[in-house]
Amino acid sequence: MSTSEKTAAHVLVETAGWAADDGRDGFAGAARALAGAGHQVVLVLVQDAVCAIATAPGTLGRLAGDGVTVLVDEFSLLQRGLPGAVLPAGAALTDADRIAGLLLTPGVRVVWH
Amino acid sequence: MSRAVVPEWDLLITLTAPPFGSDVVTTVLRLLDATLRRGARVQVWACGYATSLTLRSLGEFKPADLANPRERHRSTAAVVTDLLGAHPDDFAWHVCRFCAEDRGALDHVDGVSTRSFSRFARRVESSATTVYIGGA
Repeated sequence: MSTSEKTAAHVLVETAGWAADDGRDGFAGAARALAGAGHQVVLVLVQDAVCAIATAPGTLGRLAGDGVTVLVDEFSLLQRGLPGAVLPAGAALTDADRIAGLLLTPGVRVVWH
Repeated sequence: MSRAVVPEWDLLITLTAPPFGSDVVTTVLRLLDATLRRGARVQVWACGYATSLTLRSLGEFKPADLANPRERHRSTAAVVTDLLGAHPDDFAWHVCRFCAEDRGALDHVDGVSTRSFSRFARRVESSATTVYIGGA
């Protein structure tokens, strides 16, 4: 288990597609607020939410810069024909095993949308 | 001195999302596989139309893909059966009786339990972490 899994206190899993200019923020606001309050925050993009790397790359990059760990599910990218997609600065690919590790971290708080 | 209570289960996934509106079932099955591979004790509580995922009438395979009829894909009921067989002490799949009755979906594959919603709180209490995966 990696260091980030051991210390992850809040795991926000977004599954719905969103864009920076459509009035939704895909947990970005919540992630920023929690991180600003000093919490460890991991934002996981799964299913349609992975498309945010194209529709809201600036938002994701800023979140990573603000201390939020931004993870993008590689399987979901492949299912949508996006292999090798360029990720926003600071974001990283993830897989089911790492997400499982996050969910199994003692004391973790998970919100799934 | 009080002793810390060790939860009976590591993870409870409460699944109310309908099966065919997105790839949520694929995501859940991937997470079940991954958490069980890590040695975790995991239970699922299926509500709403998610109660249909383990119906015996689904059979072993999904309907044939007309674009590739020779390739067969196992049904969700068969996949859950496989997981129950591979992890008899570490995995459980519960179906909400109320939701199942409301949908005429009461005949499930062996190993799947049908439980009253009044037991749901006990499922949460017995789990270290509960993840609610919802959707109307």
